[in-house]
Amino acid sequence: MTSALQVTGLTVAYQRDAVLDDVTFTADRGRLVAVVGPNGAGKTTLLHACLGLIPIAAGGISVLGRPIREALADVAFVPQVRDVDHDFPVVVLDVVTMGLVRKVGWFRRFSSAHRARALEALERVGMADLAQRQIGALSGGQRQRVFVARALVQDAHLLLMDEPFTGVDADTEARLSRVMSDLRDEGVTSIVVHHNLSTVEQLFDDVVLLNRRIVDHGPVASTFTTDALRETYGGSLLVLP
Amino acid sequence: MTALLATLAEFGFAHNTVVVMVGVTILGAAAGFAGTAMQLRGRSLLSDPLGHATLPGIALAFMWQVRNGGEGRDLPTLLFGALLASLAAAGTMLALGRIRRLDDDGRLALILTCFYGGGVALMAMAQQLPAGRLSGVNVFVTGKAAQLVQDDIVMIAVLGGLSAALLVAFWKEFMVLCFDVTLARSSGLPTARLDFLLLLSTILVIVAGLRAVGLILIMALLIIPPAAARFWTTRPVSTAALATVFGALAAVSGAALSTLAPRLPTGPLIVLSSSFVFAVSLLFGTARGTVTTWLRQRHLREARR
Repeated sequence: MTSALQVTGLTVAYQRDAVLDDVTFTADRGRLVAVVGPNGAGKTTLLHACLGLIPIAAGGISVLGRPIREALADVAFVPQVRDVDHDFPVVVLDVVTMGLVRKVGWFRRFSSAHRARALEALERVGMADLAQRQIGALSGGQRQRVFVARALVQDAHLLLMDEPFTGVDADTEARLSRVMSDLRDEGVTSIVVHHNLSTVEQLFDDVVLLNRRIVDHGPVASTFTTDALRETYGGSLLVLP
Repeated sequence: MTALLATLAEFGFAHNTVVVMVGVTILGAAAGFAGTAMQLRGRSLLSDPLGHATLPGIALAFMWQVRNGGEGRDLPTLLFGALLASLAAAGTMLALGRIRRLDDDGRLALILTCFYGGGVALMAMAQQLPAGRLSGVNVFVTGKAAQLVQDDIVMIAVLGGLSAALLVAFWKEFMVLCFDVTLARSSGLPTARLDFLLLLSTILVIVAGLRAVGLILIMALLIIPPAAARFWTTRPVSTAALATVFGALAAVSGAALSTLAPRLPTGPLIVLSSSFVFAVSLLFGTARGTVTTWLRQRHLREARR
């Protein structure tokens, strides 16, 4: 069986210095994978590269055994909530429906069937009752759920998420975590940039330790060790007993 | 069109007044629609350099005609020149957008001054051509709505219609592009081409408005009605619909005012009436007007007593 995501020798440079240097790892199907590393480690860059959003200097990425360009329909992305213009005149349901833009195709409008699908996805993240709320009138955690719902309607096999658990309350965290495990049971792979080291073991199956290059990757149980973390974060990691 | 003009004329409007009113109404509506998409893309201000960039195109189209033995006053040719020059500006703008060192303001100022400066220089050259008659061509800078004739209306309707057709055809994709470029790109939408089409829909309106309001003030019709619409609604489609209505309303009331005060030029009056629409929206808009919000908060305060 082909892996969900295979990154081989990936090197990305914005100016002269490499942001990602010879990054190689594989994510199997139906796994919850945390990407962990300090600020500036290239975590968001890694996700953007996997979406084909930025040019890569060297190496390759294959999604479900295909090059990215051919696999875009199978990949969904949940951006950092702060990356989105929240003053935009759309309501929650509009935002989720946008996830279907490619499936609907050129010159056709979103139909009531599409909106029903969007509503179903909102149901799954517990936001259906706020479907008609303007996106700016939501809290950070609620917005996060909306963007997860938008990724859900895309019916993707690979889900890339940029810090979905940052700044959300316990209720949202529990619900997002449940959605992610349900998806895993359906065979969906989630690659999640994650900052809270104390919840890695409880939320994820695998971990990728990243600091411009791969420090280590593998199952959380064997990879997520104090030594490996110290190497990832340099000397700055304070480990509490 | 002729039938419509005849019907309106029966109600006692002078033929000329009717022509002007119908022309600017269509223009205002088209500008409100296209302006909404530009505003949602966060690029309202781009209509300024795109408008100014028409000048070198007009000058070149004029000179080209004179060289070929004409007087240089054929309207479709002049407008086509304007369209091409503005498209060139749009292309340059998008290409420069890929350069990280240049911020948006710098890009905008660069394009505006280069194209407009070039246009002024070319106009001066055009003035020296002995066979040409530039007097009617100069009007494109400030516009002269009172001089609109029936052919101008047809031109405005065609160009405005094309702009609206583009927006309707690609509305769904435009909205994704405007709200979340990352989603657009990661969904595999051709974002660069869509951005170009979006600019094209605005350029068509700018060219349509050259005769009526000129290349400077058209910016007001593209920016103010959409800005006003935002105070009334939180949905994209209703924002566009309202902006279209506001644009038409501002244009027709400006034109009506200028018939009451014939010595005042129509273009500036249209700008002033759209500013009036904006002021009313700012205060009383049902979604986020300041007075509306204040009343709502007072209501909340009183409910707690």
